[in-house]
Amino acid sequence: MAGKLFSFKNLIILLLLIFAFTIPCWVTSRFILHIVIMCCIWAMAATSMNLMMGYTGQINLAHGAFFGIGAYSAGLLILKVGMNFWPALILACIITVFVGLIIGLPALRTRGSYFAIGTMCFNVIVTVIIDSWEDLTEGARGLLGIPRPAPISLPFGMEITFTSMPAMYYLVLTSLLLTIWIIYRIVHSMLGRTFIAIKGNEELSESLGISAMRTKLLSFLISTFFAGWAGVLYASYIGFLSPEISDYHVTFELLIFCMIGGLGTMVGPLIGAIILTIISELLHGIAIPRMVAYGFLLVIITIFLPGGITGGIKMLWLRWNRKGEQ
Amino acid sequence: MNEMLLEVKDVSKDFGGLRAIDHLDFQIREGEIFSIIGPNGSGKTTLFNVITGFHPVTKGKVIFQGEDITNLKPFTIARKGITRTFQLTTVFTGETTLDNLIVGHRLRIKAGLWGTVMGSRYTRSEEKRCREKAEEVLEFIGLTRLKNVTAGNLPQEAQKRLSIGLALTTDPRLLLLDEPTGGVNFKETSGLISLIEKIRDQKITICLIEHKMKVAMDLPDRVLVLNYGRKITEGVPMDVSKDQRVIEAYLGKNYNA
Repeated sequence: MAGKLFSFKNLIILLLLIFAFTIPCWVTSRFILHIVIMCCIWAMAATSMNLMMGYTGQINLAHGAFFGIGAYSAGLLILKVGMNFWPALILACIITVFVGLIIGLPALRTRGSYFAIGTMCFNVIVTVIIDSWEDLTEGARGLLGIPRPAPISLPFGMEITFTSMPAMYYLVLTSLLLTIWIIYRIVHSMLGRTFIAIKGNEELSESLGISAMRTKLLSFLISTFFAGWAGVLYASYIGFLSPEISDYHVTFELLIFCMIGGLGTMVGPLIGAIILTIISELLHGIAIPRMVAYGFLLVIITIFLPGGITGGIKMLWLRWNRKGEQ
Repeated sequence: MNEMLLEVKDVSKDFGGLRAIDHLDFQIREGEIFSIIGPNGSGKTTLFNVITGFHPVTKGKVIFQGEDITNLKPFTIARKGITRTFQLTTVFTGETTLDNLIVGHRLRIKAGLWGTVMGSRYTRSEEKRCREKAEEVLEFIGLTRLKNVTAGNLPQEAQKRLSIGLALTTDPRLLLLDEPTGGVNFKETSGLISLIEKIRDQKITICLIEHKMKVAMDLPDRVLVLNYGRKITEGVPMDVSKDQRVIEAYLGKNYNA
């Protein structure tokens, strides 16, 4: 084990971690820090979508809705119920998972593209409900003034506050790392193997004693949990919510993050989310409709690079290695 | 040897207006190799699908070890100890041979979410058990050399072995093999036959569907002949092959043996 601990891969991970944790030390621009925070939030949502799509093989097109449900539940709990941020975070995640359960039970009875269509319809419904239930959600006016997370008091009179950008960054980064760690643990266990088996062949899995429904539902609920969590962080960081945040555009953005980075790999959604968030934040001023650009990008990726960026790198690596052998 | 392992009692299966299985009755005894033969479309694979719960039964009962398993879900039936292979060789094509077999033992462990995330000692011991089971089966089916090959790239015969191996990792009492030697050459067929005999020696009861006479007649202890979903006859291979009705079903009425 000792030898494994200092492997090349672990060294890179360590360097990346050091890099990630020191960003606020040498980045002073609030704009760049904002982009980095958004990268983390989207990476979290994309990573959780990847569990359902990349590893379990079910195309869930309601992920944006769960992101929005998490965000709105937290916003409403804080603003209308007057809850503290931390219990609201937990409760919002529970609400998201609960809605996921209600949707997942009927939707998961369908397979393949029917599941994709069903979940996408649900996504549209959620946006419409948020948009028109004005008494609760303020409708198109949006929820204004969601506060940053409440400070955590430590012994000896110390306090962690989240008013500054770096503090918010560390909160988001920790959440992202926790998400990655938990999903990594799941994927590299027997539970993850079960998910991958369902992706490989549902009928064969059932004949081997694996309940497809239960497995898919579990994967679905785990992925909605993290989507909700990411939504809460978004709500608290931006401070303003409009129904658009649960829109199916969000779903497709997450989908594109995963596809471009590489579905079914741990780093894929991270790479996709980071690259595309940076590009889209930098191109805010330019008047190309974003979804049109994404559409072209998606077509190009699926034709020329079906494994996404990670798949492409892997292919190059294999080709290079083979050349060395000959 | 004579204890009934599986009893199919008066089972019928309709697909709309088509009766695929018609009032079928038969038993499989503990420890034997039982073979189901019949012309194409006589309902053999449908029978497998009915026993393993992939198709609901229209009428009748399936009893396994004295327990009614009619219309249970496929995964429940697999947990009770009946596993099947598919006619078109089915393995997880994207995974390596070893990874295929590891997930095969999934049904015998819990793999809870909490234990997985926390990395509990119990969950880790479960994973170890699955890995050991996979290595054991890998050696049993003779694919140790190919354990790191992606299953989709294996030759047909190795895929057949792997699909049987997958079924074996579930610790079955009854193994249903749907054309275990379909699509492999003569030499490989004898290899698969000896594998099936080896499985029988492990006290696992086997029921197989076959077209190759060498497999369907030499290997089994008893044979069931189906035609249009009905039982024509059942018995020792020697008697069955001489039965006039069987010859008629295969070769037509005017053929004189």
